[in-house]
Amino acid sequence: MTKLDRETVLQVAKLARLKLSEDEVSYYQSQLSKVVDYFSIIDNATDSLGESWRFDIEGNGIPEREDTSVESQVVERVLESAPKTVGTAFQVPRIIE
Amino acid sequence: MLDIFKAEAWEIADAVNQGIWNPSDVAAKYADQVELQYQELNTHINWDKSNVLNAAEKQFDYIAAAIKAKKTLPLAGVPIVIKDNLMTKDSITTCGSKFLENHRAAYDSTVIEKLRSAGAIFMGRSNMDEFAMGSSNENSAWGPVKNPVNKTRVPGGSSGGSAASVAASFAPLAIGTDTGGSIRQPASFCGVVGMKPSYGLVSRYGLVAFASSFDQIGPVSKTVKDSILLFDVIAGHDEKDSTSSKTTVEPISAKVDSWKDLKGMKVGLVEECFSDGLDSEVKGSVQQSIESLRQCGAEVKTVSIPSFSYGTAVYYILTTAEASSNLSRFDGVRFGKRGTGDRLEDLYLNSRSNGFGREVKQRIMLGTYALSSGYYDAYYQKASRLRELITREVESIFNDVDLLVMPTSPSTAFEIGQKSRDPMSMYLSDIYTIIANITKTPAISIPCGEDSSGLPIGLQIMAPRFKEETLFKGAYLYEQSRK
Repeated sequence: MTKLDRETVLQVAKLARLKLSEDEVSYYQSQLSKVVDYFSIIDNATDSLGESWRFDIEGNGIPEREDTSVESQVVERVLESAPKTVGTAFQVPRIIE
Repeated sequence: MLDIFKAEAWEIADAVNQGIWNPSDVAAKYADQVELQYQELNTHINWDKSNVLNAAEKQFDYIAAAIKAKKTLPLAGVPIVIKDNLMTKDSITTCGSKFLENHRAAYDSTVIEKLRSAGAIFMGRSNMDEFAMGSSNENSAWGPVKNPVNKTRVPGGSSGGSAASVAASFAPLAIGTDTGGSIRQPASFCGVVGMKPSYGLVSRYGLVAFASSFDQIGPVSKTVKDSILLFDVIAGHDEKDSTSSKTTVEPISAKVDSWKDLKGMKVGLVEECFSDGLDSEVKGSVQQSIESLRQCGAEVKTVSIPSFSYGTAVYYILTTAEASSNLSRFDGVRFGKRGTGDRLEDLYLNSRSNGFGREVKQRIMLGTYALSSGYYDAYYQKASRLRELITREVESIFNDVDLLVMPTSPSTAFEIGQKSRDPMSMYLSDIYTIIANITKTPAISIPCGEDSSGLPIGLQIMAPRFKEETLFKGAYLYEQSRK
């Protein structure tokens, strides 16, 4: 069975911006290992698509529409949903020393 | 006189449009029903009867004006439960997550706009697996929903609250969302009808995204005719959703009464869906249904999807990858719960670690893993290619048959807690439903019997992409054959 090591779990959590407790590290090590092991079933599949095939969600490229402005009037409402704001901006901790 | 709780949605709309029933009476009776029983089943999040009825006042006026103007509204006065992942202006939209516990939507999703225009009355927000990630509704931050048929069992997920609400007659209709079977599997477990439209036919604007190339919004109802009624209302192009199809959607409701039989129609029985892992009682019931389809005039033949066995892995690789990207927006800055932290990095870490539940973190990590350097080709890239292969195989089958039939789920509703620690056992309960999401085709689950414990069994029917009319015709005539 594919077993994800502790370092891999911690690295993935770091990439996903998740902080795990010790219990969570062992829990996810076991859970993720089971699922990733199952994923290996696709190694058996024969890929008969040509080299040139590329994934495209709709096959027709990105649909375009007229570039026209529409009144939305949601700025205030959106700001109301934010945990912390200053004027019309979202406030975050200082990132420039 | 019609019994208000037994009436189909179209019957309620007819009665309201003709002025026979007052929409405020209908809403009050249904609200009383929810008030009385929702806690026992845990179907609703933030249920507040007076809020629901106050919010409906505007709709009552709108309906009254339409009646006065002799304008027929397709859902006039019809109560409908909304899954809690659809933005509804001024309503708290939690998506089953503590992260959005107090998130008040700033705007209406397109589906909500369409429902308002159709005269529907919102009957609360249904409980769901957090961010629609789950097959049992046990992953909600508000606790599990119970199956109205047997309260020791799960209702299925992730639209468990929607399916349970319809089964418990809290509303004749509900809105669900389906990324891998999240409408159809709970419909099957609760003994109601659940339909996932073709990808692109219903706008996703205002739906909290889980896996954007799979997610679709669809109807939950007691009958196929009601499913068609709701589908007609919510389908159609929307320029606010860049993946919304420009395919013309003709209303189907008016055609229902002309459907008499399935003569000339070919139905394919997918052989991979009748092998190991399928409960024998489910198998027996579905096989009986296929006999009924034959008696309706359909020609039945066995077909094969050779890459079927890769479907579950393909689905979980791609959806977790998309989820890991979609859920990166939950950072504690613009909306939702904000963790503590003097540094931006700590703010992200604390917001996400405290805001997300266990299954959501698991899927984000799975997706991050599948997309990370060194694994991308082996997982994401390969799964994307297999998605295309499965799609081509299914398209090729549809050159020969009009519909595919299979069970909706390998089992009936399982015990609460039975699968919650075993991810693969839980994930494999979607094995038959995910094919329609992978291939972007429409599919429906219709009740087709019960097992020896009295738990409902669902028959799943799939049609080619954008052939909703054929899908509904097969489902409707099958349903009629059971009467």
